[in-house]
Amino acid sequence: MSEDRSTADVAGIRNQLTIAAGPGRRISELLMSEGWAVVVRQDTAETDPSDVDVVDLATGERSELVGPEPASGGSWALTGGDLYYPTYGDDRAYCLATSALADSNGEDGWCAPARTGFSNLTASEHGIGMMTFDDSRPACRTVNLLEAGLPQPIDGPTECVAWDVAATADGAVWSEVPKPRRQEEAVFRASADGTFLDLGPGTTGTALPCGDSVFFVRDPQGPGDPARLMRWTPDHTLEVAYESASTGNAFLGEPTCGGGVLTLSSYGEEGDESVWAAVD
Amino acid sequence: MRARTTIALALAMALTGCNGTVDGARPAPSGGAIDEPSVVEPTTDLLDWQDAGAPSGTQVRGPDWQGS
Repeated sequence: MSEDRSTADVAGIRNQLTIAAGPGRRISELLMSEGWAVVVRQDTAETDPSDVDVVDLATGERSELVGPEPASGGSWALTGGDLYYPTYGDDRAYCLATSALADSNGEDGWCAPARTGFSNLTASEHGIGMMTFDDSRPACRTVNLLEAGLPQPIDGPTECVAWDVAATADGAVWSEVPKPRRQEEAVFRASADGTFLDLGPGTTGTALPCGDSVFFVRDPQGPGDPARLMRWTPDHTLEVAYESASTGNAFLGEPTCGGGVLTLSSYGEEGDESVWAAVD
Repeated sequence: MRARTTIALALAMALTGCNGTVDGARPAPSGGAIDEPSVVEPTTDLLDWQDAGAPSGTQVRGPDWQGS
């Protein structure tokens, strides 16, 4: 999308279209899977429901989202043709809606109890991850995977300090923020077949399922250290999938994934770059 | 008897891919207990990154399309 979030371009082999946010709106989300693109146009006053365009990448056909009316903003996730997004239910309850894009079929799902909410949705073939939180100060955060449409807290995280979560074939990857005043610094952990692994430091809010793996960003850990993209594989290995040319004062943008392809922006004194790679 | 053993060994090697695991099977995790997770040391295995130009806003790319 453009720097000012006023337009989004969706380009395929045969089709290209530009979607404008429209007056009083900005593009808050651009999601893609193998077959679909979803463009979310949020009210800049963050009061009116978001408008959503759905593009069938096979035909280039553009349509409006079919399903419960979206809330303004919030966390969205797309896997295959299934879209997960926030909506409001009875008595302004904050609820999770799903839409099966191919079937033009949407429905309400679980609603957060009063004075609680949810965010940080992730979606893959292995499941849907979600962070729930309450209104205490600081908020008590719990990470969950959806089971039969309901969030179930995963085993492993320290109570109230988790942030990211993504499902894997035999468990989950999650993050914890050990120091409340250093919100961006997290430690990542994984569960696998009922055992638990420490994946080391990472950047809060960067966990991303893509292809067969879960990725997260690790900022430089020292002056001579590059920024890295870490990969937790189905073989239970932790791999450095990307290293920045810059060291020390270097950082990576939040990675994105579409149809098993990662896109990543890297910033530092050796130069900025945007790169993409297919995940094997 | 020796020929039968040789065939069985060859079959076993083919199935395991010479590394002791049945093809398609995932290695067992070497994790620890919930309060004592095993520390995993990373190895470097960079993806085959392609240049996508200068960073500009949010970009998403797939095999046959891109969004920006």
